[in-house]
Amino acid sequence: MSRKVSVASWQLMKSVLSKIRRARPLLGTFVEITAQGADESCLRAAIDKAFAAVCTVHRLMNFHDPKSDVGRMNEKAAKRPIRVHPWTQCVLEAAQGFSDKTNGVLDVTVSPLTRASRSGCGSWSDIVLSKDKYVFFLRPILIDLGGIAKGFAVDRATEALVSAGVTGGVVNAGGDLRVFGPDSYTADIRHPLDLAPSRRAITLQDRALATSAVANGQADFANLTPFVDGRTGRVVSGSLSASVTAPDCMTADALTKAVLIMRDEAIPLLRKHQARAILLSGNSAEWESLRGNETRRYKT
Amino acid sequence: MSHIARWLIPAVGIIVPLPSYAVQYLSVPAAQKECFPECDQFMAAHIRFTPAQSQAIEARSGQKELLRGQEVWRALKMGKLQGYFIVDYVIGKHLVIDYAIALSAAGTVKQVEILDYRESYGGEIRSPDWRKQFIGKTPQSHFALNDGITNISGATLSSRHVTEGVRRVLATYEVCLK
Repeated sequence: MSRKVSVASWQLMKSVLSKIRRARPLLGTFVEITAQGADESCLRAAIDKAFAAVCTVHRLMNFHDPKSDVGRMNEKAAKRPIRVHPWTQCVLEAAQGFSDKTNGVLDVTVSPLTRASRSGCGSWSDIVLSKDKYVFFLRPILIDLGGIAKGFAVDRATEALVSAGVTGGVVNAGGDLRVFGPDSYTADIRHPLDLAPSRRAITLQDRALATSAVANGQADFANLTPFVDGRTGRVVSGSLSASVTAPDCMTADALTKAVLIMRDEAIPLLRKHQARAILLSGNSAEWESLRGNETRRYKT
Repeated sequence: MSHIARWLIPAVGIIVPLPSYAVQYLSVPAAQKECFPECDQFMAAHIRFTPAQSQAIEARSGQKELLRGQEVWRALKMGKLQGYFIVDYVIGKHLVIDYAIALSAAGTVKQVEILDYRESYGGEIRSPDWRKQFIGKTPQSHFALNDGITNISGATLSSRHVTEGVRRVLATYEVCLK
């Protein structure tokens, strides 16, 4: 069938589809789910399932909750192996992979939260994962999955919608978002410093987008999480925002931090994950696009 | 809407009109149905706080009571109480967010749904490209994110005020409904 015909039939179908949007406060932000499908009551049930998936991630990976998987591991995994939920295992495996590929730039044991609680004496390589979902720490370390869990939650919510028969939609957890289905969505990227005039719009189809930003020395943005280079323990300085598009949101989420810290060095990693990055500088009206093996610099 | 304004404005003061967007996710009746699908009746049982109640709520929640009362509905199934449906208001970054809390009859949180989300834009409105997308939109014309107005990545909004609001509503339950 020609593309023209399929587009036309999709447009026709779309006119009879219903669309529902809901928002709930989760993961410390507002999670918005938009779902499109034939039957409204099915959509409602699907959205409930998607929010339930986000809740589960929130419950498992909340650093501040001693009963979460992360809380339990931080308390006991240095003493004895701790059994975790398959999703926690999945996120830990992905985190290990990113740490390995970035030579430790991304490290779940190095975050402002873990540093505030205890001086770091170990690293990601002290986390031992067994195949039967047991986790053991070789040294008394603390882990914080905050840099990756939000993207993972978006992916699980998307999965829940798709498996419930939703034809298309968006899951947006405070700017970390994933688009699925035949429709494309436009997202605007803005630097957390509202004053920066540089802005870019990105059109997404069946893809995820995540943004991380630093705005040092700006009192109004003191609540932004600082990013720490796992190799050196240094906090990323300056005023910068990195947006990454990737096939899934966990990858996009993790890679924003890699791009913030590694800049051009992150290009091979981006290529490996079929990702693209856009860097916005808060101090000048410049933005960079990192793609494949090239860096383009633009003035706005 | 008028009784909401009556409760909010004296406490909050004058809200500076900023360029803003709004999304309505759910109306009050739609949210009631969604939170309590099994219920056939929602009986209004709005509360106007006495000074003593206000003080007790403040003491329990550790928060200044912004509202002078609370909009509460008793969710009934064949006349039997299934829970409470409560509408509350908090300030987001600059503007008011309306949200609903569904409590079980025993006072545990069943669900929190955002009803109306409003947020103002900051400095980016200075960009002509940004302003262009508003041309031809009147306050009456229905627009929402992704329906003409673009989505934003990179300005994560904290839901802390909603979390605090939920805590305050739970204190209200303890003081006035239990």
